[in-house]
Amino acid sequence: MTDTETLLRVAALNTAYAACIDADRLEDWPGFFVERCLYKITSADNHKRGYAAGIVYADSRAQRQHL
Amino acid sequence: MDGTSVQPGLDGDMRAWPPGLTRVPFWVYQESGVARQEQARVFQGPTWNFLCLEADIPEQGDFRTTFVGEMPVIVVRGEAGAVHAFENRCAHRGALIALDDAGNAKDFACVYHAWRYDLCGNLVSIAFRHGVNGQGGMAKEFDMRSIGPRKLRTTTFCGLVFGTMSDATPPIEEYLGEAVTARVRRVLKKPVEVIGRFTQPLPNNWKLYVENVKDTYHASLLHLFFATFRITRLSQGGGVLVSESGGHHASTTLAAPKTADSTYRDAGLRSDSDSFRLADPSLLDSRDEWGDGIQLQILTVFPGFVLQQIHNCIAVRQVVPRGVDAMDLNWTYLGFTDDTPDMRAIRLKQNNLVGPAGFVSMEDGCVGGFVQRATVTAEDEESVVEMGGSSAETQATRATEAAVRGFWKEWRSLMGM
Repeated sequence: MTDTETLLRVAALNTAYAACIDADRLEDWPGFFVERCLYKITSADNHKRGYAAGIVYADSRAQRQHL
Repeated sequence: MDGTSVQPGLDGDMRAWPPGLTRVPFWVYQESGVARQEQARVFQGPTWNFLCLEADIPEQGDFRTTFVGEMPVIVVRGEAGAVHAFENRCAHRGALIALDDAGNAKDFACVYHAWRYDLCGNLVSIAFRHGVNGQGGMAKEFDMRSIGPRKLRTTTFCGLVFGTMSDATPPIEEYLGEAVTARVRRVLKKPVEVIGRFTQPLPNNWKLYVENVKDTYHASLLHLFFATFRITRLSQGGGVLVSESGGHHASTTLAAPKTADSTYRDAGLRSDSDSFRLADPSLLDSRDEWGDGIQLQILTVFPGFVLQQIHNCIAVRQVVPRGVDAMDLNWTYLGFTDDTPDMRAIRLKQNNLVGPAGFVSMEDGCVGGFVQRATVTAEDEESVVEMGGSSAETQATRATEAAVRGFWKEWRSLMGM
């Protein structure tokens, strides 16, 4: 794959990801992640100081899945 | 303190407090006169206020900007390991001396007119003190030692740094009492390190949040996550310890027995529901790292400090009033410096329970606002604080509001009500 093709695929993924959340299809949202992943919401200050904790911290896809 | 038992109301009339500890009038969360007085009598009175962790300021010159009530404070590591704290207010025109949340400084210079302070908070230089070209400047006899930001006394205990404005505040262990002292020592048994720091702004008077933390009755009723996943239920063992002053408390929940417990379902309570399951329950994996079976301990130090252990999730919380009907809750998440990677991973995941988006703490962040909104015209009405009787004493159950009554006992004593 060329750099341009990779860039286009990443852009398409980002667009689909945002569209899923905007359309409130939250049940589909975990499908954008691989099973072993890290999803973390933190602040710029925590990031800068190297603090590992997040406001939300999920280290698997299933932690964000609805049963 | 003038010992009066009544308070001036909004229109200057005097308000009486209902007798006993089981009623709290709603005007205490609403009146600016009360808020002003509690700055002087509670936060700047004979109380120890949490300033920061020793781990926040390990080296000389390390500082944090923090608060005692609404008063901005600089806490800094000085020479030979000493910890100094002083008001973050320039003695000249009253500007903030330090603007950053934290840093390292040789001294502090106010940005406004460059007046400088040493690490103890002493004024040490005045820009153009002797004027320019022989004109202007301060009077020759002006003594820099005659002014300065107000200084606090500091003390450290288990890695926590506290400050007080009063000469009358007793040593920290005496202030806490033997039982609460032991409960702090239990959790902070080893050196800690900060693993995250977040602020949760709450739309309510600071006292509503402190009451919520001391309210052992609500935890498994408001918080579906606690009851459904058996982190704390009133039917589990444990109890609430209230200090002699009433101001401090520690509540504990023992690990749940492996047998079925239908207490909540039989009572038809929302917070225990079959329809809630976790696709990945690894968040609930925990270790009995204290070896005493206590899986939850919530502790307060009057007026506004919380030490929390929920399973392996350790945090300190600082209550900062922001006017009458708002406050900031400053969360600092902790690990021990000798955590294994596995242990640290457990803590990071369990932190989802707490903080601004916490499965549990998010709800505490709402409920104070619900009270503030519902009582907006109910200043002459009262809340009922009668679960578990009318005293503010230690009890072997959490189906009680003893620690809430204790808070009011100490608050009223300091406020002279």
